[in-house]
Amino acid sequence: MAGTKLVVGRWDGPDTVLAAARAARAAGYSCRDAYTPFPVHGMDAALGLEPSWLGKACLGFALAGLTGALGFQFWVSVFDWPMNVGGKSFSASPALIPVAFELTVLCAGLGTVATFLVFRGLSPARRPELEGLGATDDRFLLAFAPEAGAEAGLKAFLLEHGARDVRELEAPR
Amino acid sequence: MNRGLLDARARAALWCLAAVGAAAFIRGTQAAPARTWGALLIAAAFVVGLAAGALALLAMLHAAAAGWHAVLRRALEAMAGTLPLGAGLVALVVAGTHQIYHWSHEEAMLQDALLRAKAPWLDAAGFALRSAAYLALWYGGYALLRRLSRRQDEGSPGDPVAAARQARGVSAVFLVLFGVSFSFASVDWLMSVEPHWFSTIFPWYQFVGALLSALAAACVLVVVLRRRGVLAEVGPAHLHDLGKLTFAMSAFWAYLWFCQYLLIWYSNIPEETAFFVARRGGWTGLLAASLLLSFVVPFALLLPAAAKRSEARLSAAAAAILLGRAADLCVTVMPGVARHAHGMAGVESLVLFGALALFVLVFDRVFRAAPPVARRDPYLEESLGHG
Repeated sequence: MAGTKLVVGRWDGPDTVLAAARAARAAGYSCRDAYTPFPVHGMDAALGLEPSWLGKACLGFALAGLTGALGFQFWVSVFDWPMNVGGKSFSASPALIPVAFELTVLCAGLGTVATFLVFRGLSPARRPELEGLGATDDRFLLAFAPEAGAEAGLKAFLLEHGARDVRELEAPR
Repeated sequence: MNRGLLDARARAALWCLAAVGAAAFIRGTQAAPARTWGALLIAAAFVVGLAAGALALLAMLHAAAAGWHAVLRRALEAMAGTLPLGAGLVALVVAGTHQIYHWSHEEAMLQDALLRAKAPWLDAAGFALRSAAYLALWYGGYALLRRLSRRQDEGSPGDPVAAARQARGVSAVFLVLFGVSFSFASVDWLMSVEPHWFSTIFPWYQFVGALLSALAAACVLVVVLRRRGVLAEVGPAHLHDLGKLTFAMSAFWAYLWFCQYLLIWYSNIPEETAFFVARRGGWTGLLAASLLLSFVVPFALLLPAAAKRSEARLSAAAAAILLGRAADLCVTVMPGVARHAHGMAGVESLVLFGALALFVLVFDRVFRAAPPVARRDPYLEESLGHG
């Protein structure tokens, strides 16, 4: 990706950036990514993003946590160290449920976050993308990677659609 | 204009259903009094739960200054506006105190040391007074919020933004009063069916049950209103949010059910286990049905994100939840009133469906009384953009 020219437009609010993203998509410009201070409702659809597969990863981790917790408790309380607690049965007991529930939630939560970090390549060592343009403050950015020669037309298009400024940058990484 | 939920034919059909329910109730009080009065308590708890759940939800949304629900608010208000119907059913329950509640038999109280100790609270006059007080308080909260909401209609005098701000304050205070009064109400109306038994989580469990059933009913009513073009402003994102809340409350209901069960099962003390011991045998089927219909089925149906945006899926899950609520109330009430298990097949269903038919009729009436959406609501623009 290094050396790719980026055209980055900046907007002042979520509504205007959303409208611009929709207009750009309708006009056939493919937006590379949006950088906003908070999640903007409807931006996924405006960028034409596929639904994330993170939900499926989450389900996988949850099922792993559930079966792991039930299996381990079952093994402990039936085979490894059976204990008679008030005559209650060793297996298939409601007492297994709280641990299974908590481990399901824990595995699903941590696993999903870890998956996200790994697949987005996020770590403290990573250099922020588009640093200093205010995307973590109060500016709403759309980044495009236009084909050579299309930059000028794109810039004019973005300014026409409410961008306060548009700049050309070298892509990070 | 507001065409409401029902056309003339649907109204006639619902009146028939209500008449059948009333006839079944009147005949049942002669033929099988215990069962029939129990059925009345189930119907009353169901209908009051729908109204009170909707009212609590409305107050929570106001207190949180939520914007997304502005297009749904009149539907929630109309659900809460059925409280007078619930009050009528509770009045019948109060009239039947002696048939329903074991503690109202003086000779039983005197012979029983545990009940003697509870006599100051479990008293027929106090029961009637407290029931009236709960319903009056809730209706007062509803009337205040409704009046503020009507100020946001087109052509009504008053500042709509100030009304929204006042509704927020009223809701914050009301929620505290509601939380306390609903806890007492669920102890009075439902837990005292088993006067020896107690469970500190029971009011929570009943509150979430009521909130869940209200959300499910709201899903169904909103989908029908949307199909009729009355609430055309409601978009997939609004259904998605209703679906998310329903899904969450369904899981939370199951969580609370299990919290109650686990502690009782674990400690295995006779005074606590008595509740579940009395609900074995012929009641097991209904107990399983309530867990299946209120939790397992909606969980499976609503898990994918797309399912919560689909009218058909959402309505199916909501229908399951409403049936599950009926089974849950039956299992809670009936074993304490009629000692033999009859399921839901007879007078129980007739009375319940009759009461629910009346609920829908009253809902329609309240809903028609105002425009379907408050056009001057300051949150309306946000809510419309949300869909």
